[in-house]
Amino acid sequence: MRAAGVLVRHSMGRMKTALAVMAGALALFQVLLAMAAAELQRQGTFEQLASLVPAFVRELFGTALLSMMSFSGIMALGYYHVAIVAVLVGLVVAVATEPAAEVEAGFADLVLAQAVPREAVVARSAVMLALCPALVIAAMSAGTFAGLWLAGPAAGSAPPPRLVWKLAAGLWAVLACWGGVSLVIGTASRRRAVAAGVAGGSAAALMLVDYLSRVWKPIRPIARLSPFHYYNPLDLVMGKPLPPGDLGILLGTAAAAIALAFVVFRRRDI
Amino acid sequence: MATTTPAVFTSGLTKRFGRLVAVKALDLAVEQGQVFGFLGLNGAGKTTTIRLLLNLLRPSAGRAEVLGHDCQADGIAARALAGYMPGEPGFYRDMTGRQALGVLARLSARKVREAWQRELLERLAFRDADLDRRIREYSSGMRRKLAIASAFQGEAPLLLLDEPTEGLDPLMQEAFYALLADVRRRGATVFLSSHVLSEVDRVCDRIGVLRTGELVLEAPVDEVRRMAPQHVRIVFGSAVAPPPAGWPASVEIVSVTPTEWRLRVRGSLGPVVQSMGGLPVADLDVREPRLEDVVIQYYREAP
Repeated sequence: MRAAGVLVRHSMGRMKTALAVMAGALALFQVLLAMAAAELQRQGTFEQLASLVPAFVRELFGTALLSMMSFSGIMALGYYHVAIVAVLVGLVVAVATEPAAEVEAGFADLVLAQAVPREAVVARSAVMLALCPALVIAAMSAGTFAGLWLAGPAAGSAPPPRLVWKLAAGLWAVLACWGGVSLVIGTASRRRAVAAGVAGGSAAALMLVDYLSRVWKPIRPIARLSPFHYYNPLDLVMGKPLPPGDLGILLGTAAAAIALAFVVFRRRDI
Repeated sequence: MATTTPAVFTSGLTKRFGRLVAVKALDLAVEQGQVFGFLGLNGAGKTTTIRLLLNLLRPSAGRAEVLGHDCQADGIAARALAGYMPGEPGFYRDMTGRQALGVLARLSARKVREAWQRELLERLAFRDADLDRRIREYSSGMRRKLAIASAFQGEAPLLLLDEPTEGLDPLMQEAFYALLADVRRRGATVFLSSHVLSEVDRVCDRIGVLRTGELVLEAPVDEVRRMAPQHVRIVFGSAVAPPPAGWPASVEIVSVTPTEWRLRVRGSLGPVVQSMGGLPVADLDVREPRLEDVVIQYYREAP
């Protein structure tokens, strides 16, 4: 455990600048989103936008689309917009492929030539996978609350704080899931570029499958393989609870993947 | 007969990478307190063997022990007793030298004495400013010095050094040899892979020669040196008759002129000295046998 702690400190030290920049930028984005949502609400733009949506689009996306065109929907954009999710997936892929980078650079030789169990390297990555997205999402949530405080609607019509927590928890769970899967790839690879390419490319493909499945019924069974299928932020915006089953699938997959990563890294040649 | 546990012991140690057999059934025992030179051409399996000892690679067959601890089953205990310098030190380049040494010291099972670390860094000519620079700004020699410091800082009873002087300037090579002499005096064992035969000749007690994964020679350095002939050149003040025909087989004539004989002599020089009685010898030059005279032969083909 001591070795894992030293490695966490070491990894965190190396990532702190990138994490701070990402957390700061996304928090600021949340503040701006809240301000933009407030402005749109003041101008009555949400109703106008909703009336412009063609009927067939409404039919395809259902009430979720209309929920997007609300203060809460815009405020929640940061928790589901493809660009933000891609950045966060990029973060977990970077963290999860650290073992591959260390093997490639030879740092793993220096570390594992000490009396350090291989499990410590994977445990470090698992802790980092839990911690890094949590810190960034916490900063985003702080940005959301700051935005609400600065420019939110009157107390009665403001989105409840629980919505922010649900969005944050759902997003963290989907990132933890993909982080776990990426860790298996990262512990099995010799080259970070390959590991990151496979993990990032697969995430992009699965995200696409999930998006397509919302409008194209034949691929809905395949979409179940996508972790993004189990994160529906617009349902949360509409007031639905965070489904425990979906959360269980995401966190269960993360746990199983991390366990597999321990086995893979223990058995491999460095 | 040695009764202590060998510092390094391997039995039938084999490593395959697909169809390539990098190390073939290696049987080796390095006694404690020795400086063991592990020699071989590129790709002979030296680095693979060291990595097997550190359990960075899993053996395909056989086993290895470090100071009585199985490198696989009891790998943590085995590695707690070893300091390692890789052939290509893989420090993160965005770290400073001080940070890199700090992380490795914190990961080490052995407490790093601050006074020893300071002395080590002084002997390797590291200034404070060097240690506070990012490793990406280091020359390859500086990176190797940092790797030497990381291997030696824990004062481990076994040092596994993979081509340690490659890329070091002559002054640093001397500093390294002095360090090696010190740790040896303290009773540490050194397992050193090298291409530099003069270095091995100078610092090692015993050598092992690996060729395409197989150990083809293992012997004390003195014994190996004796396997090579001495080169003898005799210059006469005036013309003499050719050497006598009855010399033993250990004396080989290389060239003969009326005023100079060149000979290769294995073992004692007695027969040569005897035959020179009464001859007008002006000069006698005997070149000591060199380790490389034997080792290079083993690199090519086992005699």
